[in-house]
Formats: sequence, structure tokens, C-alpha cells
Amino acid sequence: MSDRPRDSFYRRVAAHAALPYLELDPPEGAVDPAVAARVPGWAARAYAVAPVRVREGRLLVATSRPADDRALAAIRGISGLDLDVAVAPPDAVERAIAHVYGGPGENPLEALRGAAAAPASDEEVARVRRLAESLGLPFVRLEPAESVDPVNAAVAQRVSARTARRLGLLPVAADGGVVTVVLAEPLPHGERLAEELVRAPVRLALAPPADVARAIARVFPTAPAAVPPRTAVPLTPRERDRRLGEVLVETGLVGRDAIAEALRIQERTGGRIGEVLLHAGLISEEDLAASLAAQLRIPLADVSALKPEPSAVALLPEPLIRRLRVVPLAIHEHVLYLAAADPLEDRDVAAIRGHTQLPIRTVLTSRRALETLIQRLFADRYTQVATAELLNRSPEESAYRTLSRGQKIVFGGAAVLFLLFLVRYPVSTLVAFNIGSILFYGGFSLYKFKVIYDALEHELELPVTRDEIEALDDRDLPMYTVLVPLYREAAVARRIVRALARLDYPRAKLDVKLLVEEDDEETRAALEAGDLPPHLRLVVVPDSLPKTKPKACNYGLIHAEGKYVVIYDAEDRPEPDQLKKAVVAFAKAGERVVCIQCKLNYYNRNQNLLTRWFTSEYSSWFDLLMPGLDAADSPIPLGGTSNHILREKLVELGAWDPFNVTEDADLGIRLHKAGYKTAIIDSTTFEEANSDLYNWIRQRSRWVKGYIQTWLVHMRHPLRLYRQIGFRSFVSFQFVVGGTFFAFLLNPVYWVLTTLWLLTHAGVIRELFPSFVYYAAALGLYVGNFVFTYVNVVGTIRRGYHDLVKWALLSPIYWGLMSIGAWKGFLQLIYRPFYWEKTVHGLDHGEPGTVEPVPAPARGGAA
Amino acid sequence: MNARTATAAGERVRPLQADAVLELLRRHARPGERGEDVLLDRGLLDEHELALALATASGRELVGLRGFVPDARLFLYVPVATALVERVCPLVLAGDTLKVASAYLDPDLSAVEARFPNLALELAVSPRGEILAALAHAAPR
Repeated sequence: MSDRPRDSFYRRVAAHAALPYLELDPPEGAVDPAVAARVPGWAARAYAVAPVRVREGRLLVATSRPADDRALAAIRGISGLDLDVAVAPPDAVERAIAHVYGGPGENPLEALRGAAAAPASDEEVARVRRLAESLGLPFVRLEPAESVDPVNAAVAQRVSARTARRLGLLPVAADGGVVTVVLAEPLPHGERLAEELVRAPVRLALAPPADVARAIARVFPTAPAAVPPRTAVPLTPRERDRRLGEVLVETGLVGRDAIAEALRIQERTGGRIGEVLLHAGLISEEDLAASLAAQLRIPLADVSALKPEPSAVALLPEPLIRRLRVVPLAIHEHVLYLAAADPLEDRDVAAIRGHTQLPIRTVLTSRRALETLIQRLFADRYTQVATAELLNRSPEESAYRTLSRGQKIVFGGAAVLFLLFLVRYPVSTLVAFNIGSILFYGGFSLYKFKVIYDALEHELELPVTRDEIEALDDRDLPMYTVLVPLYREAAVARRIVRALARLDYPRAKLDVKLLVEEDDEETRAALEAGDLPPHLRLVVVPDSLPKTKPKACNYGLIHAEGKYVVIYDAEDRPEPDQLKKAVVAFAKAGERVVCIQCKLNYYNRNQNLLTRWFTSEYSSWFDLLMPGLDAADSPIPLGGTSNHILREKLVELGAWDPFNVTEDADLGIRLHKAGYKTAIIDSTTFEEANSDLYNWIRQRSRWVKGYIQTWLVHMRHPLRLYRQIGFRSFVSFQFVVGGTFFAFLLNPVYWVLTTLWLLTHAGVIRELFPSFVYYAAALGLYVGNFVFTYVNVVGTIRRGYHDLVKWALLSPIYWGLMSIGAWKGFLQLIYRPFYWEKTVHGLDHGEPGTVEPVPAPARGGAA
Repeated sequence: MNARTATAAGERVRPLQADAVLELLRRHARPGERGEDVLLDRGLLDEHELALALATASGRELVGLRGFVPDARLFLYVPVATALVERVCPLVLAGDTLKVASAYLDPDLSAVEARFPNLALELAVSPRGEILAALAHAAPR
């Protein structure tokens, strides 16, 4: 074909199309220059259609591409005339256009090549509006109104300045992944071209060329020195429709099967395809960032080790930086360069514009690199917030001071008085003390018995059924933050990773923070040894005092993204559906419920005698006492893990007290004081029961110390507390928090006295227990011992651990150990109030008694 | 996807019958996706096997396009956009007949036929990948 004369080919095209062939050479005789009034020159050039003449209300045009319907439709729309089409060779068409319009100077797009276009005239605006209407495209203006620029500069960056100027095209907005691209003129195949350029679904609009030129000048202030003449952009088939999946396939990162599978997952769980692939472990975060950058033609950089300009960082407030995941890197020639983990959308840019009007350029980076940079930049600030937020906001609620001034006066005065009376009236004083103790024991025993008896009578947990869980649509599930504080947990670090992997919750909606202290390189190394899945984030908590779990959790909370937050310990094994159960429970519970406490129990209960007792104690505490307190609307000292809290409310309350070593119990009381409620659900997290005696005593000493701290903090203003929570809750608080540690401290005194009495029948002891006191004390002894043994036995039975019942009967020996721990904690409160007695985990390794966790038997239809 | 394709595929993946193959392919195809693509994308057939099966079933010529650079002017007849969507590539214009290689049995070229009523189209069969590779050389004019 190529050896044939050029014209003959187009003659054949004309014949095949049943159109006339038009001889345009020389154009002087064939073309009427007056047609220029009907069709602007830029349109004739853009569509390569030469207007020839107007006759009887119809416009004769010549084209070499008679099948290009878009071009002919555009000319029809622009001229407002019906067309008669003829075929001519392309060079002849070009000469004819030049004959009608002269040189290319008339092309309005020429303005795009300069920086200083004049605003569009009214005539021009009207013309483009009509054109937009005829083409069915939205008409827009791009001139800033009241200092608000309608152009999103970050989105505009998706095309280069050169491309924008050459094609008269500018992406101006992005919403929900759809990019609005404004054209200065209708382009042939404009939608495909724009989609190709911005690598996303587009919505086209038309604006006056002057508007586009001026917008380009604003977004790309430095015009390139020389712009080649406009030519069509070659689109190769491989480049067309290159969505992210295509980029990933082309780069060989994933196969088409994986993309298909990811699409199926996406349909089920929602989320973006990149994130689905990421959480399926098919690509890394770096791969995703690189692919996004390639798709959107945004520069890519690893910013984790970068040192941004302080003046740039200072432009945006830290919360905005954290929320949008952007970090200003530098200001160069009045342009702000930002590192971002995701392409910025309009709302992001609008938020940034609240702080700076500088044009923005983005550099893509992986989310991990960006988070590393943010943590490095603001580590001091985060540490300050994690440590002092509650103290600054509500110093009266913080255990930073062990005793308030008033408490010092009251307790000091009481001690002095007691000693004075003891010296002056020793027997009467001690008898009075005994009477007080008997009253305390009596009240404590009866209250606990009543709460547990009520719990036995009813199903007090918030019921969540299997059907309700299965009815959840993964796409509607909220983000869930899981905080896992880890310190010296190298031995069990991988266990929590496995346990979290078993959670039945969409990975893309899990935000797990593994909180590791800066000086704990072993744990960090253990975690980094295996590839952490992308939803598990290693957060290094800077080394500072107090080095406590609540401070680490506060640090993690700053970066939390979830609607709900839950804490798990390193050795925890939550039941897989626990998060979904909590979601259902939150939906069912009233507005006052902002915390869901799950039950705790042990998976190594049969390891030794200590673990059997411990399991028995936990079973009664979490299966009976807590539901009973919940039903009585009393303050609940939360368990150390598996409390699911609305993040918003947690932040509102100042989060955890970093100076309280039972921050969980303290938070439960603060929630109650603020008018919120905690609900219990029938889902269990299995932990490692402490199997080593010394380790157990250390742990117990911390718990008792924390309970004393909690009691002291909330009793700084007893009357205020009474008014805040009412009589019943006040009494409950005294017995459940105060009574627990007080009984542990007091028990050894009476055990010693009883033993001495049995051995010696010393007269001095008899004097301290006159008959009415003696009988009351004896009654208290029997009733108290019965009640607390009974509590452990029924708790064990309730949980279904019938093999532990016989061990629960030996609980009194266990109480002795508790008192040793209590006294250790009490004394430590005096000289090391914030010291965190670390519990060593991983002692169950290889123990024959270690058993896999079994959930509590379902009751009453609850799942 | 039509019965002939299904028959060809059915012969390939015995003992399935053509109707069963057809139904299976329809079930797996996404909206707008052709049954032939499902066969290829799922790895049930490779492109050359499918092309051979289609050519055999239809009696059309099987044309290899490796290294073939199409005449850009022929895209005046079959616009590149149409060629990409329909997986066809114009090969040669002989007289009033345009020979077009197709990866499918029934490409929708009705727009071409409507625009060029005096042109006859002659279809041949080529592997999909070779067609796309050939189209990669076709920059729009």
C-alpha cells in the first residue's frame, strides 16, 4: 500500500465510506475563508477537520479520518451547523486549515504557554459555556473567588506542567477516587486521555482557556523555557487502563489471579485494592507506595531518615500532620513540598489550606516510612502527652502524688491519735480497733456475697449471639485499634502476633500497635525477626519515666486510628470473634456504655497449684463479681486487658494514668465518675497464669499497690465522690477497691493473733477480745472464710473447671500469699510509688500442665 | 462468547460439553468480559491453543502476528480505540476488502461496517497477545 500514490489511498477511503473525495489543492480556490467565522481555528486544528464552505445552512468539512465521530461531533457542536463530510489527505487538510486561519497564533491554547494570560472575556466565557452545553460537559470557572482557589494543587500535580500546557488540561479536584479534569477545549478521546494521564476514573469539565491558562500558571508558577508544539500523546495499549492492579501485574509483583482474589475480598470487606493486597501479604508497603507513585506519576521517596526543614514542619500543626499522614519537607521557590502516604484529596488540601496558601507538591512514601518520620519528629511531644496529659488536665485524678495534702493531714492525724490512744488506753483502743475490723469484715463479706449471689441468679452479661456476629457486614465494620504494650517480652512476643492473626476481623480495619520501650532491644528484635503483617505496627516508646504500661498505652493511643481501642498483653489469646462481639455489644448497648470488658482466664490453669488457685480466683472475679457489679451499676475496676473502649471517650477522659500501676482499675472508676458505664460480655481472653511464686508475689504487690493508689486518688475528696456517684456506688467502691487491699493487709494481723491464741491462750489476747467482740469475730471468721471459699468454688464451677473445685477449697492458703504480696506493695508505695513490678511471661513453656484455652460454655443463647 | 467458541473449548477440555463450558464461562465472566478472556485469564487455555481452536471451529485463517507492524493508515478504518476493545488488528487493504485479525470469533465491528458501507471485512484469527503487541505500534494519528 505504501508504494501507491498518497491521494489514491484516501480516494479509496472515501469510496469505502461512500463519501465524496475533495480536491483541496490548491486551497485558494477550494476553501472559503469566511468559514473561519463558523469554526474557530483551534478547533479545526485540534480535530484536524478543515471547514470548506457553508452552503444552504450546512457546513462542508474535509477530513482524512471519516470514522472519527468525536471530532465531527465536536465541529458540529462548535459550528452549530449540520455537516457534509468529504475526505481529503491529511496534508491537504492541514494546508486548507492554514489557508483559512493563517499561522497558529490564533490558538487560544497559546496562552497556556505563557504565564500571564488575561482573564477570559465575557464573550469567551459565553462561547465556552455554549460549547460545553453542546458537548454535554459541565462548564466550570477556575478563577479564585474570595481567596479560595477552586484548583486542588496536589491533584493538579498528577500531570506535569508541560503536559498541562501542551494539552490545555488540568486535574482540579478529587473526590472518592474520581478526579475532575478541566479541559480548555474538547479533546478527541478526552476522557480516555485524561484517565490515562491521571491514572484514575475522571469526570471531564470545560473551562475558558484563559481560566485554564491562569490556573496552570498558579499551580506551576515556573514556566518551562521551551514548550514543544502540541502533538497527540501516544497511548500504547499497555498503558491504557493502567489501574493500580495493572501496574502491580506489569511490575510482576502480583499475578492476575491475585488481583482477581483481591477484588473478591474487596467486594466483601470494602477498602482499596492496594490495601487489600497489602493485608493479604501479597505486596509490601514499599511496593504499594512505589506502585501508587508509578500509577499517579508522583515522585517516590523514602523519607524515614530525612530531616525536614523546621520552617516547613512548622507550617502545619502536629495533629493535622498525624491525621492526614503528611509531613512538610521543605519550602522551595514558594512551593511547599509534602511527603504523603496517600495521594491528597480535596478535603486534605482544604485542611492544609487552613494553615498555608503555598502551592503544594507531594512526594509519595510508604506509610511505614512516614510514621517513622512523624514519630522521630514529634517523639518528645508525644512522650510529654503520654506522661502528663491527665496530670495537666486533671491533677486531682492523677496518682502522681500518692497523698494529697488533706489526706496527709487526715491520715497523719488519725495515726497520731491512734498512737496517743494506744499509749494512754491500749486495751480500749485495740478493742475499738477490733470492733472496727469486725464491722469491716462483716460488711465486706456480705457485700461481696450479695453481688456474687445476684450474678449466680441471673445472666448479667450483655448477650451477643452467633447470628448477630454473622450478620455483620465486613464493609461496615469500624477501624479497631489494638494496643499491645510489651516490655522484656522477647520470649512471648511472637505468641501475641500469632494470637492476633487468629482474630476474625478484616485486616485492613485492624490497627495494631505493638508498643515496645526504647531500651528493650530484645523484644524489638524478636518482633522484627519475623515479618510483621502490615496491620501490626511496631511503635517504639521513647525511654522516659515513669516506665509503665499505661504510659506506653497513652503513647500508642496518640497514633490510634480505631473507633474502638482494646489492650492485650503479650501472652494474651483472645477468642477470635472477640472484636466482632464487642462491635455488636456496643451497637446494642445504651449510649452510656463506652467500655466493654471481656472476661479473663488462664490457659495454663493445670500447670501447678498456684495456677489452679489463680484460675479459680479469676473465674470468680470475671465470671461473677464483675457481671454482678455491672448489673448493680457500680464502678467496675477494669481488668488489665481486653477492655474495649470508645477511643473518643478515652481521649476525653485523659486516657490512662501513667503513674497508677493498676491504670485499668483506675480508668474503670473514672469512667463511672464521668457517668459512663462498662458492660461485660461473654468472651474470654486467655492469659498465662503466673506459675512462679516470686513472680506471682511481685505481680500481686503491684496490683495491691495500684488499688491503694486508685483508692487514694478517688478519696481525695470523699464528699465530692459521694455526690458524683451516689451512695450505692460509693459503698461499692469502698468495698471492692478499698476493701480488697485493706483485707489483704489486715488478714495477717488476725491470723497471727489467732495462731498465738490457739498456741498460748495468752491473757493479753483474751483482753483484746471481750466476749461480745470474741463471738462477733468468731462469727466473722467463719462467715468470711465460708463466703470467700464459696466464691472461688462457684466461680470455678461457673466457668466449667470442675477439676479445680477441690483446689478452690484450699483457697485460704492462697490468701496468705495474697497478703504477702499486699504488704510488699503497700511498703513499696512509700518509697517507689510508680515502680512497675514487671511480670515475667513465658514460664509455661513446655509445662505438661499447659492446656489450650477453652471458652466458657455458652449460656442462655449467648454465643 | 458463542456456541462455536464453547464447542472449541469443550473439545479442548473434554469431557465437558460445549453448553456446559459456555455456561461456566458466562458465570465467571465479569460484566463486559468475554468468555474467551475468562478461558485465557484462568489459564484454561493458552492464547495459541485458543486461537487454533477458534480458527479450526470457524474455518478462518490462523495468522501469526509476531513482529508485525500494522499500517497506521488502516486505523482510519478501524479506530485504535475500537481495535483495542474488540481485540482486532487491521492487516491489509486489498481492493475493497480489509483483512482484520481478531482474537475473538465475533468482534463487534458494526461501527466500521456502518461507516464504510462499501468496504468488505475479512476476518482471520490471531492470538490475543500478538494482536495487542501489534496494536502497541499503532500510535493514533
